[in-house]
This record gives sequence, C-alpha cells and structure tokens, in this order.
Amino acid sequence: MKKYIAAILAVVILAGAAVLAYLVILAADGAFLDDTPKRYTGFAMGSVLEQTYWNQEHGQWEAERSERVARAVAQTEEELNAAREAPSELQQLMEASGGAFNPYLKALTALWNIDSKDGSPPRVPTEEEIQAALQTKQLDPGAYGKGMACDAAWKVLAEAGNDRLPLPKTLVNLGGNICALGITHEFRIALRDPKGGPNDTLGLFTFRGTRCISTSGSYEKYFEQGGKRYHHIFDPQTGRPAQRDPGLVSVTIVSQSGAIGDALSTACFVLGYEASLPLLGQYGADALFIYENGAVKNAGHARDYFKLQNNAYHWE
Amino acid sequence: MKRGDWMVLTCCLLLAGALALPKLWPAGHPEVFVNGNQITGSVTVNGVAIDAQSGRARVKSSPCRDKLCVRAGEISRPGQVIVCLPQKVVIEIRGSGGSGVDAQAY
Repeated sequence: MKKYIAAILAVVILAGAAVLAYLVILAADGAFLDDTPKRYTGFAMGSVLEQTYWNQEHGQWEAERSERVARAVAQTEEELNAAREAPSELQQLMEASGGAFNPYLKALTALWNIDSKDGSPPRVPTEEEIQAALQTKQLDPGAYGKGMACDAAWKVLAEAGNDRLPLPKTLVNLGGNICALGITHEFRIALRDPKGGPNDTLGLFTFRGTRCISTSGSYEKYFEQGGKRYHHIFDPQTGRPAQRDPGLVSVTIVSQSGAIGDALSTACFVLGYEASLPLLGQYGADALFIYENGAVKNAGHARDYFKLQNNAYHWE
Repeated sequence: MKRGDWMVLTCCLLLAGALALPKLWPAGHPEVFVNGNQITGSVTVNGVAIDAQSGRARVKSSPCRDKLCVRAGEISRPGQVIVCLPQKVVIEIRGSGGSGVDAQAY
C-alpha cells in the first residue's frame, strides 16, 4: 500500500514540476502580461490623433508620455502654420520628384476649394485662373504636415525609450498616417479599402521594427460636376487633378520617415507607377499603387509583408 | 494497465491542461469608448447623440454638416470606429481578441 502512495506522490510531484516549468516559460514569454494596449485619443491638425502603448504599466508613465506627444504635435502644427518655406529635406524631394511634389500650391488649392471650410461649393476654375494661381508661390503644408507631426511624436517617444530601454511597442496614428515604433515587436496594420467605408479593409501589413505608413488618394476629397469627378491632389504641371496614371485611386508609402513618406505619397500619386519607381528607389521606400479596377501594383518590398484580404482586389 | 501507464497518462493530462490554460483565460467583452472614456446607454458628447448597448454603438444624431457619423451605422467588432471630425468625437469598440489589428492606415 505504501508503495502505491509513494508512486502517486511521485506522479503528482513530477507533474507539478512539469506544469511549473511550463508556466515559467510562458511567463518569460510574456503570455501573462496584459497585452491589451492602452489607447489615447485626441484631435490634432483636423484629424484624430491616436496613440497606442503596449506591454506597459498602464499608469502615469504612458499618460505623461501621451501628453508630451500631443504637445509636440500641437507645436508642429503651430510651426507649420507660421512657416513660409518647406524644410530642406522636402525641398530636395520636390527637386528629386521633378516638381511632382510641390508644397507651394496654396493658391491653387484655395481656387478649386475642394476642401471647403465654410461650406461654399468647390468649382472648376478657368485656365487663366489656374495659370495665375500656379505663379503664386505660397506654402501649403497639407501634403507633408501630418507626416512631420508623426516624426515629432516619434522623436518624443524615442527619447522616452532612452530612459526606459528597451523601447516598448508604440504606435502613433494621425488621421491614417501611422508611425509604428518597436524593435522586435510585430505590428499588424490594416490598410483601408480606398473605395470602401471606414471599416472596410483592403489588406494587412505585418512587420517588425519601426516604419511609417502614409497614403494619398483621390477618394478622400472630391466633387463632381458635369458627370466628371475632380479630386484634391493636383498635378503641379497642369494645375488640375492629377491623372498621369489613369485609374490610380491611391498610393500607400512605407518608409522610415513620416514627412518623407507623406510627401512621397503625393509625389507618387501625381507621377504614377512607372515614373515613381526611380524616386522610391532613391528614398528606399516601399509602395502599393491601387487602381480603380482593383489592380494592386507593388514597388520595392511592400508585397513581402502585405497580404491582400479583399476579393475585389488582385496583384498585378 | 500498469502503474507506469497511469503515471504517464496523468502527466500528459496535466500538461495538456497547462497548455490550454492561456487559451481559457477569460476574454473581455467588447466595450464602447467615446473619446477614450467607456460608456453605456445613451449619451451625448459635443452635441453628438450616441447609443451604446452591449458592445454595440451608433450615432443617432449629430449637428455636423455631412452626417457621415450617422450614416456610418452601427459598429460592434473590436477595432471598429465612428469618427465625427467636426464635433471632435471618436467612438471605438475595444475588446481583447477582436480583429488582432493594431491600427488602420488610410
């Protein structure tokens, strides 16, 4: 009888040890950490500013950090409004893109009035009006402002990483412009269907490390007149909605800089797929070009970490 | 069956239980958040009338011009959002499990 008790005891101890060892491995792996991210939502630059923090203590640290990020974004907005010249890196991009990215088209944008602030209707201007507006060189930070704000947020968070190594997984989303910060952390970022609603997705980016995602599309702001659709991304050569690459609906850039990525998305939308490839190569950025007929074209390595999840679209 | 068999069987069962443990951890229900604060029932934020019930939310009315938030309809899956920019209102569904997506780019 004693033999049996000893045997049962041995089994219990052995099994207990195995379970304990397994739990220790799980704990070390972070399985019991609260992986529900802490989210801070605010408004900046006419968009939603969303900050997400993972694997944190969910306390004072993130709250304080998120306020500093919000302040940095607000400060960037003020600086952008006061600026008369684009930063030198963007002047360079303007030249590199052959003028396809042009941040000095404020008069032209105001003329078309597609992003109407006061409710007055947009309209198709005359050729004379367009030419006059193209001559007026006035800074409009619209095509890179959000990206720059993302960079400012990024800087605050990177500094935070210094007093708390390793840098935790963090994400800043300013009106769809995303900066994902992490070292080994995996990010899963959905890309909105340019032809769908806010909750329809086209596919999923899955990557590790730090990246910025920026999109320019003709679907965001537009108006229709005489059966023709006029969108808000202008070709600096013609002063009219860009249409060098027929059927192009949107361009999504994945890069290492918010401002460059944001400006590149506009430049590439104007240039079209073929003409964008050298520019993207020069900046080491990846891109997806999405077309009206559902075609998706890859530039760089985007296809390696982007999965299409929408039957209305196909790789080309 | 011999004693050794029982020993192995018990060990296997316990190990299987331990493996399943993280999966059986209670998953949270989806919850409705407006501008970062959890809400239930009918509330009005910045003039936007929101109806939130058991993890579902919709905008009943809004003083904004476009009414995009009203036309967005009902949301119920974690990660889904309704945004009313003019009134500065963000309605989100949060919950564990969910879509497994960290953010949406657009």
